[in-house]
Amino acid sequence: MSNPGQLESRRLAALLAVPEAELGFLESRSLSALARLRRALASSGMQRHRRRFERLASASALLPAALAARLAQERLGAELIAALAPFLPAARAAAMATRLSPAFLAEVAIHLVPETASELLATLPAPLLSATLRELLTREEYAVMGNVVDYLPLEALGTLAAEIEDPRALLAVTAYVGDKSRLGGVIAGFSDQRLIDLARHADQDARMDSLRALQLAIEPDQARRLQALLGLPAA
Amino acid sequence: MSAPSLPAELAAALAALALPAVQRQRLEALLRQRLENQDQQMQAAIDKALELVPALLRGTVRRVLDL
Repeated sequence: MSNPGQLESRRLAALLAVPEAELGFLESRSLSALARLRRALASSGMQRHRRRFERLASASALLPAALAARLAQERLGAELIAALAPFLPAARAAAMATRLSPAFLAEVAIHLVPETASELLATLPAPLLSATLRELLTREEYAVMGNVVDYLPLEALGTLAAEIEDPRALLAVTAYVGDKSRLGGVIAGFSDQRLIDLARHADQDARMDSLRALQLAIEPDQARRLQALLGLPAA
Repeated sequence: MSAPSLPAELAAALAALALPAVQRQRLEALLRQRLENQDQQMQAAIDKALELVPALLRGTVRRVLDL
């Protein structure tokens, strides 16, 4: 499994159309700074072409959702759809999303600036979120998954976390979550054994700082649970 | 066409990486090229999609009216 810095620099290399090795110097940079650069790059296109996206959103509203989805997938591609999504009414974007494949939606998610699409993320049906998550897991897109946690409904987080069976993947996603306090309910839903497995992998992979950061962010009762179960210091 | 200047948000994000000068300049050049390519791709794709909408709409209306 790649480390987070490698994943972010790899993603930037793909966006900038250069070999991964050319941006190897970014792997040592802070994750938050790399993620900030990637989001700024993604949102720059939206802002520069705002008027065009507004026109396209208005025009697509005239079409049935299925036809609009087909037009979007065949003519625009994932990156442009991700930029267009915030300009569509959430219900409309969700109706179109249900007509796109999970593989394509994963591509869209990779390019999405989640803070511009919080209403859409809250509107997407749970099975669609799960299918897209499974696709993102296969691609090890942990940054994408972690970044959207801040913008998903709390009630969806537990279900989605349950789908991430690999403790290493779960730790990797957690590293990218901005507001870790939102994971309190997720922790509450985990069995003791699951938490112990998580800590064992965190220890093996030098990720205990992620677990500690999580403990410091969640509710006191769950923080004390982690302390008791995993031998972490008091929060 | 000269590469566009970096938007303020992108320039600030680049500065926040605190890269050595050579690496920063290389990354900035790649970002500028990316913005230029993005401008061309977005403009072409969106304008093309907008051109298609009337024809798609006519087809939809015909199907609805069973013409």
